[in-house]
Amino acid sequence: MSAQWTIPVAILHSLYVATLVGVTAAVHHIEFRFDELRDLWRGILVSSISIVVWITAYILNEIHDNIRWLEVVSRFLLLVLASILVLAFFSISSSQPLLSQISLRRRESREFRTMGQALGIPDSGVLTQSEQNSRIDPNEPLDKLLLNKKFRHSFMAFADSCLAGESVHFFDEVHELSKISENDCVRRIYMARHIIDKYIVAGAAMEINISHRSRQEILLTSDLARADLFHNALNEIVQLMKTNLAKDYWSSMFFLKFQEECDMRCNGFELEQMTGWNYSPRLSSVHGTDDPFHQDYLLKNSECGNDTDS
Amino acid sequence: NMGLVCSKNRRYRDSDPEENAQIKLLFQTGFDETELRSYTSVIFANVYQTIKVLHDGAKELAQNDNNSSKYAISEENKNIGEKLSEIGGRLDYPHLTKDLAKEIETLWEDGAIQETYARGNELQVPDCTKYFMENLQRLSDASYVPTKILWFLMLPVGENKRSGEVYRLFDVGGQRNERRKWIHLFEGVTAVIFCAAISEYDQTLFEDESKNRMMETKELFEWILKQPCFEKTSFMLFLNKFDIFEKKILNVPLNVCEWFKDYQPVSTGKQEVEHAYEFVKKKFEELYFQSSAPDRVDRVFKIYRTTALDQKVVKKTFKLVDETLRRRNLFEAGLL
Repeated sequence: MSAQWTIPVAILHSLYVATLVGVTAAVHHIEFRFDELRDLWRGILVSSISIVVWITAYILNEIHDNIRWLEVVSRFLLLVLASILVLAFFSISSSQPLLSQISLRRRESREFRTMGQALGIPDSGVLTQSEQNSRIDPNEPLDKLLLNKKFRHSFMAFADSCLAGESVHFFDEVHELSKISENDCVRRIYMARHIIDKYIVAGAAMEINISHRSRQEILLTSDLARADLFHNALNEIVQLMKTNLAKDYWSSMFFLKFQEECDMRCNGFELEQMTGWNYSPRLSSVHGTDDPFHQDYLLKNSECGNDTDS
Repeated sequence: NMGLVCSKNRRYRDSDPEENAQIKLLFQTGFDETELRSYTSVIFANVYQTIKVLHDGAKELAQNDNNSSKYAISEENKNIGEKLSEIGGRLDYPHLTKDLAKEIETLWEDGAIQETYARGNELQVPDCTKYFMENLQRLSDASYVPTKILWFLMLPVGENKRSGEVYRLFDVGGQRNERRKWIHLFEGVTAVIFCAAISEYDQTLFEDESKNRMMETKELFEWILKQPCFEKTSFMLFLNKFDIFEKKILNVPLNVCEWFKDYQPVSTGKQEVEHAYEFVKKKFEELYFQSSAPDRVDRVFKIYRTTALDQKVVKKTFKLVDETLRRRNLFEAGLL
């Protein structure tokens, strides 16, 4: 091959870079919250540098074919770089755009407390007046009661204290997922993947106790954006909470505190009075050093309290 | 697959009248009617969930099985089936009325449902299915009060005082996701009560249908025995659900389970039940002695056959703890 091909080849490569830039700009409207764009740019930078090295090696190889060592070195470089590029090309699965390369969880804990916040799901903190003031009626079905954010947080704190929090956390996150609009597939998939990784996969950090069938149904689905993806699992979990947690909750300190707060709000007390819910954990709760959820309940509770104030 | 851990703490000696009252309630059969009544909704939930599992199971078998015609629900029962399956999928179950009970009974008597129930070991059908289905009329009675008490549920979990000493009993979940919550909290435990459902040798796990329940039990028991923190811990093995085992063993050979594949049935009837039970017991004993150092005499190992209706489980539990401590005291005094 003569030197005259060098220019077209170089143009071809710059075209590749230009296309990447163009594509990035085109998908820019999707809200990237996990620094995908930065990763993409980094990827582009690395690949263009390797292409430049590749071209330099190629040209050197063509021009100075009389210098023995240069020929060996440049051919070696050519081979190594080409194989790296091929490997990189095949290893990036198109179905998981850069997700595998960034550590979601690590960043999440630094910047956002929940996946819901990371995805910008509107907070249900805007409670209707009736919801805020009504006392909770234990005879209402648990799944309805759990839609009330304040109640959910109180119930969650209780469940965490008996090391059974994963069910309530799962309910919470599926509830967040249901708030994303049906048309917003990208965010739905991000959220669904997050839930699957955290609660569904066998051996997951907060694996929930669901049947084999429900688990397989979720794991083998072809459409992660489906609205009823977690429907069966959620049913099982609500039943589980009803039979195992609800009864103990109604007689726990957590419920008493929750009701006290409700009353306080009804009586028009200043909200500042409630800073730092000071729960004393249930007597029978297990407190070990080995806490599978790595959470400090008391700390978390006071955080919740502060949130409601702001 | 449920485990119980019992530990003793002698520090607290002052008695609390309220707690004593609670123990009284637990140790005598004194349950008041309102308390028993509160369990009816749980029973109804069980009935609806069970009929749904059977109905959906029959539908699945009718689609996939070679002998599919056996599992086709008859035309006149199809609508009932769909309706009951829908109810079973709800979060809130209606009260079990006479009409609903009648419909469930009709569906239960359908040939396809009976065929499906015969293959219940492949589905996750609860053990109480037959009992509930045959007592539907009584359950749906407005004046129905549950009569049978599952004594395992009544174990005094929590802190208990008995002859001036404090026992702490923990009930821990056996399913895989529950297991890792307690598996590292065993330090300093006096006795472990390991409950293995002896009747589940032909069933698969609720959370993983590719795994035999008995094999999982075996692996878990072996793992627990090998934990260094259990060197001095006594073990009581409840081979539970003996009543179901008794019936099952005459129809399903024990060697369907990989662990018991060298089992040879010898006779029929009651003798065969005993033979099979002894075989399983021996397997567990072997497992214990393989995984336990031979010189540990301060450790007690006992095997009991139990059923969920067994009233003696509570007594047996405390007897084990007492014996363990007595042995340990003797051992420490150099008498053993």
